[in-house]
Amino acid sequence: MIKNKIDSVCIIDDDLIYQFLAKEEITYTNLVSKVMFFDDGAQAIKYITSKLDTSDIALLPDVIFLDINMPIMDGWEFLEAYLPLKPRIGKNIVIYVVSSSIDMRDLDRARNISAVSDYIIKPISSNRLVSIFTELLS
Amino acid sequence: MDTILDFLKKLFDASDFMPRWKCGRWNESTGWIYILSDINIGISYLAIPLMIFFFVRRRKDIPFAKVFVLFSFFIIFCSLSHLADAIMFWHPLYRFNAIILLITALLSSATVLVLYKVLPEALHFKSPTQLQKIIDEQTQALKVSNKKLRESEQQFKALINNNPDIIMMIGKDLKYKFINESLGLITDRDIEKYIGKTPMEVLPESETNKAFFIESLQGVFATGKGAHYELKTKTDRKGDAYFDISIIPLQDENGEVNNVLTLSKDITLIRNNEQQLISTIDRLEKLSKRLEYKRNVLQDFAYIVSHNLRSPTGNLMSLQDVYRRTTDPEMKEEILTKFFAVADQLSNTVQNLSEVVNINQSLEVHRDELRFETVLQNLITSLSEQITASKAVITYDFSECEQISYPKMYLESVLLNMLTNAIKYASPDRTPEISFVSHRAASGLISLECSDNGLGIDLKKYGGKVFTLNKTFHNNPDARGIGLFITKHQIRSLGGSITIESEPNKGTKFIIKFNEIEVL
Repeated sequence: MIKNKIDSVCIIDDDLIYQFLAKEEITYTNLVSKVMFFDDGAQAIKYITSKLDTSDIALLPDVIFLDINMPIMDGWEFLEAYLPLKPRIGKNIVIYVVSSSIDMRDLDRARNISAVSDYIIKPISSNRLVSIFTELLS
Repeated sequence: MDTILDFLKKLFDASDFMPRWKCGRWNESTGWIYILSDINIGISYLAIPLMIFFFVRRRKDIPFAKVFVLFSFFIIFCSLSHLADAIMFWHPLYRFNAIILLITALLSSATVLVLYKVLPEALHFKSPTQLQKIIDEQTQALKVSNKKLRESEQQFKALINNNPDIIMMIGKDLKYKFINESLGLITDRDIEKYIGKTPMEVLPESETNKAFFIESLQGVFATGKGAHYELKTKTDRKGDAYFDISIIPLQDENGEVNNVLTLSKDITLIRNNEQQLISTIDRLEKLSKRLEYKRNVLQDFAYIVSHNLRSPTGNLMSLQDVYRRTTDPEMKEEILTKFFAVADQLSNTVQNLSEVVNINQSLEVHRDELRFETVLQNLITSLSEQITASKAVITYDFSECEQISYPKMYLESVLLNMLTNAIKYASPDRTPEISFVSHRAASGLISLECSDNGLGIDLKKYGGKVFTLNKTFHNNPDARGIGLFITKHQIRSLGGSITIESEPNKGTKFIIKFNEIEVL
């Protein structure tokens, strides 16, 4: 059966304006059923862990858009905390690092983490989102 | 047996024989020639052993002395036989004469035998001519070797005197025995003034240097082991100089150390070069610190560009896109509100950045001689309303370092930020206490500590982000995260640093080091 919508996408970013915009853009693609937000990595890890503990795998996001620079737990720290959880997750979560940083060191670092699919430089366009989602759905 | 007894009984009996005058036809003259010659020979023969005796006694080193003694006895008996022969003319004691002749005969045989035995040995003795020749040859050889010795001594002296090291020989009595001419390189004083004196008497050194030298000398004499050390001193001709000093024990054939050599090598040039090298390294280190600082500034700017400029600009672009395709008026209104908020934030950021650019660009900032107390008191006065409202207790101790040469605006901004931060983030549960303490380290580093008992910051979460632009860590409407950013750049532009120690709900301590590196 071919799905025509991605169940859920997760935005981890402390920038509230960006959260608002990302939601608008994702909704605009009409390819995603649900968008959830976390202001920093720690909140996201807490959510994932709790769903794993109650075996609500279906409630876990299919795609994560992860910012690097955040208070409390930044993107790198999130990835570090996420990797040990990965074997317990029964499905493939696609992670994109999304940042305004154009520092090559950040790009290289993200690309060297196997769990990260790609590095996207902000702002993220709706066209890019469409291509990401359609690829995942096919 | 009887014959021998008879012979001995009649030894001095002349009755059996005729006196010689009566035996044969002697005429007067023939007889007397015979007699006088016998007497002459007899006396002369007696004189010879006397002379030999005299000779042997005077020349104690004479070889074969026994041969001479034997020979002397032989001559004496020869003499006696001649004298007896003369007596025969009147008293024909032939028996007695026979005894003398017998003894003479025995002595002569013995002498011949001894001479024969001694002869090969005697032949080894050099003749005076030979000896003279040997002496001449040896004298010549001695002259040659003396010349060589003088030459080698001259070479040695030249070597010693032209050696740039100062070489001295000192005896066990600690008196100078020899000093080479290199002493003249460092002092105007005559070498002769040193010889026979002790270092204590003549060295123009400090008492400490002299005592150390004497101690080292005594140590070498006591242990027989050399010593080696370095000395910094003042010299007449070269001013401050460094010497590498070796004390070398000189052992005599019994292995005793009665003299030492001291070698003083002038290593001033090496030491000075070393000093220069050190100061060059120091300068390079400072330069590399400055470069490091510049690199940090650039990195900060790269960070600011991506996070504080790229991010809101991207948001503005996206807001535009969303605005254009939205038809819902309510939604449009919401997007516009957000648009203005981002625009405000961006404008604020640009304003702050220009301020920081100004701070970093102004290479020559005018410094004022500022008293910490005066600057703080002025701030307290101008902030009196806020301080009174917060009930904050402000204490300070500037006794260790009362003043600093620093731009007035910067110091005011530093202290103002510390004060307002402490008041802003005061804990509602307790009376705010704010204290300022200044320090001056031995290195000349001036620092200021500002501590409060406020809310504090969780450095585990926010460490390293405290001084970045637009960072706030509290749900405080006043918090804008600008003050510390500007403060950090002001301090850093003058070669200083600001660090933070904090614990949530205990308080915060800022440590400002004003002059960590020299900036141009």
